Amino acid sequence: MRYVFVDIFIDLLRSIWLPACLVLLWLYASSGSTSIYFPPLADIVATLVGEIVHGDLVRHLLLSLSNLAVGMAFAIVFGVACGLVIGRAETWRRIWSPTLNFLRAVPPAAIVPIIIIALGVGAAPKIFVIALGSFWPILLNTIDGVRGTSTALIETARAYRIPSFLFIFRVALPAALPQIMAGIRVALAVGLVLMVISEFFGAEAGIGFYITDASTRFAIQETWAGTLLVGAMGYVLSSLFLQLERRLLFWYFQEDGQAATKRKGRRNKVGGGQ
Amino acid sequence: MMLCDEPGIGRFRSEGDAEMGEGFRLFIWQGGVVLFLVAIWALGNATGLIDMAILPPVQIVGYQIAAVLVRPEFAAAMGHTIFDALRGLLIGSILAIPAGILIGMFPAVERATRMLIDFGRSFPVIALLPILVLLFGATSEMKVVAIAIACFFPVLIQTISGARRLDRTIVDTIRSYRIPAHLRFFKVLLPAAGPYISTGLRIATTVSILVSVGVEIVSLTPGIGREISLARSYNETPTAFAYIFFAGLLGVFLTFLWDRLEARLLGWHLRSTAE
Repeated sequence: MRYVFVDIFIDLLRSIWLPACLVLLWLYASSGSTSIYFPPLADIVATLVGEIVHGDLVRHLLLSLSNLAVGMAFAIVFGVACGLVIGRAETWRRIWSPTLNFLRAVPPAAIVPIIIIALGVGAAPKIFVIALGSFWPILLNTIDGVRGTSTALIETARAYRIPSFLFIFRVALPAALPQIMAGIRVALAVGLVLMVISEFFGAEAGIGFYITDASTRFAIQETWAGTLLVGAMGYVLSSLFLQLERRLLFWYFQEDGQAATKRKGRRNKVGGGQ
Repeated sequence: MMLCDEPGIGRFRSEGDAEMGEGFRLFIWQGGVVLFLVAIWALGNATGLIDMAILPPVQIVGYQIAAVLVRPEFAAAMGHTIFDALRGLLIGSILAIPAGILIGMFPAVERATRMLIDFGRSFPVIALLPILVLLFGATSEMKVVAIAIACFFPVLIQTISGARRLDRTIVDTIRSYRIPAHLRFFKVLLPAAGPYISTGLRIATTVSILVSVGVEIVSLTPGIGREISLARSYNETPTAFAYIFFAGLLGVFLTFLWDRLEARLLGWHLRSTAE
């Protein structure tokens, strides 16, 4: 029993020594810094903690996160629904593919100024932007997932005359789920970027607004603090999502190695969250 | 000879006209989808269901797509965006590929850097923009730095997984022949990780354009993104849409170009997996 704890401790140490050293190095190197652009890390952290406890950084963060959550929810519902429809027939997919490839290639950030200036500073335009940008990776991965469903499975369902809604929820969706989750993971990164950009543009609140507002006031410590917080948030969100993915797809990761690597090996064309 | 190597073309020739007719019909249908979407757009404008400020009339946008082509700032903006994206991509990959192979070679290093890499990949680079603008000013150099950071991580991650997924027999062979480290790096690990690096570069190419346009929109550094932002603030939404159209076209073109390049560079790998 004692050895188990020692093992866990050593395991942790192995993966944490380098990040810890780098943070300490940053702490040490910046401690006497007089450069206004690189304030001491200790001061940044103190500002961050102070703003979280006394200021309204938490309010900004929660507002941004709620926009992200609602936008992502819309993107998932519409992306998966459209993907299931388009992915079902091969000809249908081929007919749509040039149009979808073009729309996917449009930089999502490009529509931010248009939407925000037209619709104003409320939450709705930001949610719309996040939903639209996150829609494409989810849609394309769902199409791919549906397409990769084994024909034996589809033929069996047809032979037993499984009704459409049962087929969609019990066969097509679970079979495409690994790809759909991969799409949502990419979409999460896109959504995070759009969340920040949309708040750079027209906003009176939100974490992106907090950062730009601080930088235009030359409040360097606040700018650094907000930026670090966004980074930490991105890390936490993607770790949480990875846990969720593991839990939802336990059957997929348990599958014998060959099947799993075969599907994973399929080239992911929808990469790149930025 | 070159043509026969590609399975698609061989089949195309042997089956002749039937295949060609099918390809043509597919093309017509693909055009039909585009027309269908444009028709919905026009209908939305005509009935007033779509707000003009968000989606201006389709014919005006169509006219502007042709009109921006002759504007002097168009070529310059396109050039800035492409050139800076490529510079950032180059710097990011030159740093990421050797780092990725080194990390992939040693499991202990991989363990130690995993957390840092996870943090870096999930960091939205755009959020760094205010700090980068404070440090470098709203310049092209600042843009290149942002692009390089964004491109670094996908290439790094793919390279690491490529270097780690080395065949067991190859690892044992290297060990038993005592192949020196520099040969192991250049002659074994780099080619073996090639397909993965290529996937990473493909992702990074898309990322480089997206970040480039994103940075230009926010910081108004020269490029397509700046033209979009300016056109919108002058209330010329159709012009903004025309630039957005070309930004999308640029993305499609780069993906296409990368597909061709990959087929040429990694022909050996594609052929071996096809068999």
